[in-house]
Amino acid sequence: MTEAVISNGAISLAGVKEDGLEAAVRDHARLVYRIAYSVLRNHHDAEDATQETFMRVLRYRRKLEGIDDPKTWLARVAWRVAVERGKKQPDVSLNEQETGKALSELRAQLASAEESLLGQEMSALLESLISKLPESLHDAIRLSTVGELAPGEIARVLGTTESSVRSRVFRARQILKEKLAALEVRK
Amino acid sequence: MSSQHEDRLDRWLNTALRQHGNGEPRVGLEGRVIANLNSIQSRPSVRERRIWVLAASTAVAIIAISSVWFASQSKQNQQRNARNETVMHSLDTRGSAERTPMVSLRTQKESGHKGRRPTRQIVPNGWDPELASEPRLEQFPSPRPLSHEEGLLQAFIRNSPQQAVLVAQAQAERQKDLERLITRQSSKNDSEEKER
Repeated sequence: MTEAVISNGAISLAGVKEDGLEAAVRDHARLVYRIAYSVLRNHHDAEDATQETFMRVLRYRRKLEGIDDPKTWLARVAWRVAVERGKKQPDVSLNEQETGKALSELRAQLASAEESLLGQEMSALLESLISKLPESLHDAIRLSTVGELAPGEIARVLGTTESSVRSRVFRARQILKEKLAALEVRK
Repeated sequence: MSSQHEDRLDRWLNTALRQHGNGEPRVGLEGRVIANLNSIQSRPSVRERRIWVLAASTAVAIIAISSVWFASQSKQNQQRNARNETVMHSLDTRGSAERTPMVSLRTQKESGHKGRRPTRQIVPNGWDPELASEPRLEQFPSPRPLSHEEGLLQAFIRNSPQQAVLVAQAQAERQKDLERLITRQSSKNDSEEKER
């Protein structure tokens, strides 16, 4: 029922009453949270960003005439909120010990054929490598890690074309692979 | 980089990126967001609050200004009434409306200027209502009653004017003789002093 309320054609969020807003929260809160988390890398900050995203929806709901795709629109709002908050955060940096631990974990995982969980240090190293990518590339790869967004939706969130998103993700992955290989060889 | 190693790295990156973006919210996120939205909706907005604060402060300012204005007006009226009563009292004692130093409210009301604001009363400097209460005299300096001697002289002149004239002439001649004697004596003294 809620899905029908929100995503059935041209829904008017301006005319949506509290039930409609609640339905939007129930349907898209997880997506909003994951988008925020992909940028902020912190559960507490991601939840705050989620709250702020829906507060913005509540504030501007009267001004909005009609939203064709509420999911993408919400994703866009969440992305902006998260990026604004992320600017205030310090950059991720690892010390020598953490980097060494992450690389030994990487080597072990590459040697093993089994899929294993990403450790804390390895996750921090990956985040550090992503954040050093050019802005257009790290935006695309971050949103691509949110499994609920298709390349077309990522393109609408970033205000670009789908092919551009695919290209950016591919380039970002290439750079990351090269950097990881270089790190693996160095140590 | 060998193709086998590249494939492994590619697979590992897929897994790593999937796990990297897999941030799961704490249980009950939707409930917390809805509760927060409901609490925000139940609160008056900042704009509404500002309007109320502005309206209340404006009302307080208007009340304060009007009360101060009314207080000053009533004080002025009291002073004016007190002054008018004094003036009216002095006018009553004098009994002359032509010499009124100021126009009183009472006279204005009597003359039928209803609804008009009373003209501002101009009080001359040094004007004392107590002095004004005394009747103004026709002649300056004021005539005093004759003394006993003056009365007798007046009666003598009225009864025997010819004798009075003779007496006056004799008095004048005697006065002249006295003046002559005085001048002669004074010149004599001067010459004696010079001889010395």
